[in-house]
Amino acid sequence: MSEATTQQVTASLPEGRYFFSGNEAVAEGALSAGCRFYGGYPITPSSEIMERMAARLPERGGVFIQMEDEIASIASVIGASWAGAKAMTATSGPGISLMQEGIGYAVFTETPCVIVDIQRAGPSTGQATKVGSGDIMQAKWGSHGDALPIALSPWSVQEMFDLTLQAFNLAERFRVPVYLMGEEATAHLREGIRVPERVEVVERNRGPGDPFGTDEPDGVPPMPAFGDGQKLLVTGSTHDRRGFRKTDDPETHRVLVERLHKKILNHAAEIIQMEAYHLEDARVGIVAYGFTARSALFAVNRLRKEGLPVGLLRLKTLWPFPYETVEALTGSLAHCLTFEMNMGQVSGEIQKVCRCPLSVTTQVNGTIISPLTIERKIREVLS
Amino acid sequence: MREIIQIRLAGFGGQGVVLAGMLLAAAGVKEGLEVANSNSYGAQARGSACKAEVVLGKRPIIFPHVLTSDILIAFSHEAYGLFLPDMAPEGTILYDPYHVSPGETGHAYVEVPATQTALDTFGTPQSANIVMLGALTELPETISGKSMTEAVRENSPRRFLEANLKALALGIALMKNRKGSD
Repeated sequence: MSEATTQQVTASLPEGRYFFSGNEAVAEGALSAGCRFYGGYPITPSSEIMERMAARLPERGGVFIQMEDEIASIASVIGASWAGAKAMTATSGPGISLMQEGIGYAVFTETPCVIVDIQRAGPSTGQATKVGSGDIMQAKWGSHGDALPIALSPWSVQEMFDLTLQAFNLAERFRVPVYLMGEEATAHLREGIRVPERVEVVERNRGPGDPFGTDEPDGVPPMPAFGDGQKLLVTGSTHDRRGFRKTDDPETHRVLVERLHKKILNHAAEIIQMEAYHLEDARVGIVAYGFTARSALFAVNRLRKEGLPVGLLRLKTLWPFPYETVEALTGSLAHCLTFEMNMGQVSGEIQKVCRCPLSVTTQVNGTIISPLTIERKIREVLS
Repeated sequence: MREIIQIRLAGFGGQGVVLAGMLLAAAGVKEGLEVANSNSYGAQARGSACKAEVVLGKRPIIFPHVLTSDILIAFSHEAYGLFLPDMAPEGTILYDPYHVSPGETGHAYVEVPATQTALDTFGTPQSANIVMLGALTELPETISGKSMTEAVRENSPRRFLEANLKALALGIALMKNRKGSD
């Protein structure tokens, strides 16, 4: 089986330090990754991504289209990807809900694309300008059937750049939709970031070859583009390795659905990223992600100065979920704490494998969780 | 400069609070500092409470919002009252006497007649935010006037550039004159 290729290319901007909002950094990360198509519909708090892509994509030979809604946006992204372009869209919770049918189609047709979700306080239109983190389970379960997209969780403006770039690389490598699970608080935060001279980008394997099957049970097939010369059939119905509909054949369906899972889960070690802080000798450990992990690290550092045995596991990848790491970690802790800007979505995943008492703190008031809240909870557990 | 300086700017929508915070942080980047800049404001374009925060650091900033302000820049009396409790005891408050009547709280107070200066010079209060930034550069342990000037130059729309640079210079002059008369 031929593979996706990795190459070094120059970034979208000259090497140096830049002062960007998180949303601006997403756009530059995408451009550096080689994004050549953006289809979207504006929504707070993601609109600055679209604004910058509208200005910057044409300069770099790309195509930008404002679509009539989010359903059309994801459809345009899927079409652009099959035309051979690295493609993305960005939206917030209400738009993600509308996109779910298309995202499921992208999973089943193995269409690489990047979906940026700048999360705000939901459900429904909720609080448009306020922060939330309530779309984590939707990224995994929002579409019907057993879909398994990848979801990344940035915590800084630098990572809005870095993880957008990685999202494209993972999408191309595994032929899968990749979510960047941003949050309003990071999207509208401005920080200094470093743009390197060169970045590593992955280019999809364009074949020729059967576009929907591999000899291995966990392989990623080549993806020829329309116009490359190969006749292509792309369907959201069950299909064999050449793309022909096989909607009555149990074995074809089983092999396909299982391969779509195995191509991600059997390569989880290649995908999953996380950071550990002060966990070597910790008795109390926090598991956190996104903006909340910054509050958590601040609190942990402060308590460490008092000699308290606390640490932090920071998840950068939410899907596939690092169950094994969490299980091993909680086996060595006296107490595990989670803090989330939702009603406990990731905490539920931790609960599945947690080997110590778990305290869940949720906050759904449209504001970030303060380090002071986290510090207080840790003291409660330690007292 | 200290390891971390936390600065809060607050007033109401339309006073340029968000822009002032952005320019201050951009100037911080010019000085090679780590910066984090965030805002909160109501849905209305004018009149609602508005806050900008800037954290300047010599090392990477872990928590990017202000927990305790070392410097509060108050553009309205309401904002002054709201954010006073979060001040560091040894913190400094820059206030515009056009809008703020400060109390006696033990903090260092610096009166900056930014709105009056803007009105006298330009006939509109619009550039009071930039006058205030000029004054800020004259405080010890903050951003230099040179970096602030560069940030204003790079981030001003062409039609406001000249007025903004003049407003910045006026803010700097206000403080220098005061030092001279002390």
